[in-house]
Amino acid sequence: MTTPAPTDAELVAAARSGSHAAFREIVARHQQAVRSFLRRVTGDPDAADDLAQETFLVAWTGLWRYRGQASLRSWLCAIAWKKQLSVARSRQRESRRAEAAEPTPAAPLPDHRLDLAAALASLPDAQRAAVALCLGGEFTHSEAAQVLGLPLGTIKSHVERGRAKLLAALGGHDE
Amino acid sequence: MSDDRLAEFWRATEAPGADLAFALALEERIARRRLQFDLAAAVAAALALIAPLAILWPTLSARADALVTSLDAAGPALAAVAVMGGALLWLSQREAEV
Repeated sequence: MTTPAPTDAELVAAARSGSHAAFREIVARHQQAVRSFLRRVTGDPDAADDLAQETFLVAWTGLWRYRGQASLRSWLCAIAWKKQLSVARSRQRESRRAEAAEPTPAAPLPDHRLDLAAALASLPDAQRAAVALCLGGEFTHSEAAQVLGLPLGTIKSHVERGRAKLLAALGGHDE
Repeated sequence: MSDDRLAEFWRATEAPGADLAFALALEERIARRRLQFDLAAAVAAALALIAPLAILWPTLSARADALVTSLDAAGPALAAVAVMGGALLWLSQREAEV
């Protein structure tokens, strides 16, 4: 007879009381969800993995902040999302500075045959994240709302519109 | 058809279920962070010891000076008492011998 796997709550409690093995199990259990979400949001697997490591580092130091209101997976993805937003903002600032210093030639017009990655990248940040969570990551709309800190209705419309845009990029239609 | 291609895209962008390299890199970062915490804790503990000493130093220093001064003043008297005690001891032993 095998002992049942510990629940997330049990792992969190053990990790809080200093069990590194418990934290390792948390990482093993949720790394795929966090990394997949970040890969889809950033479009860059290396940057996504770096952000995912930062996310787990924040979780390791701030596990006491987890109150169990959302699932652990949602809590981790929410940290990942905040990290991603702050990285994106600092990148935007840098690129603005670079543009001011040295004007770059106008970007080529977007290809009509954008592949899905490009189509996903072209979505607004929150819409892309909602699509990545709900369509790519099998999060429920309410889980995605918790992760992104947005109202449920907004998430639903983001997913709906994002999906339509992706299908349009594939040359299909939504119906 | 489009939904299949979408599903294929999600599969292609899925991170692996188990990734030792990722886990090890994270372990390394955690170990480094832990070291930083330990170092910060050691510095904080040292400061907690040194800070009260530094605050109390003027008082402690004044007390120490006062103690040394009082010993200086009492020194000749103590020396005289020691000499007299020695002399009395010597005399009492001599009387016993005689």
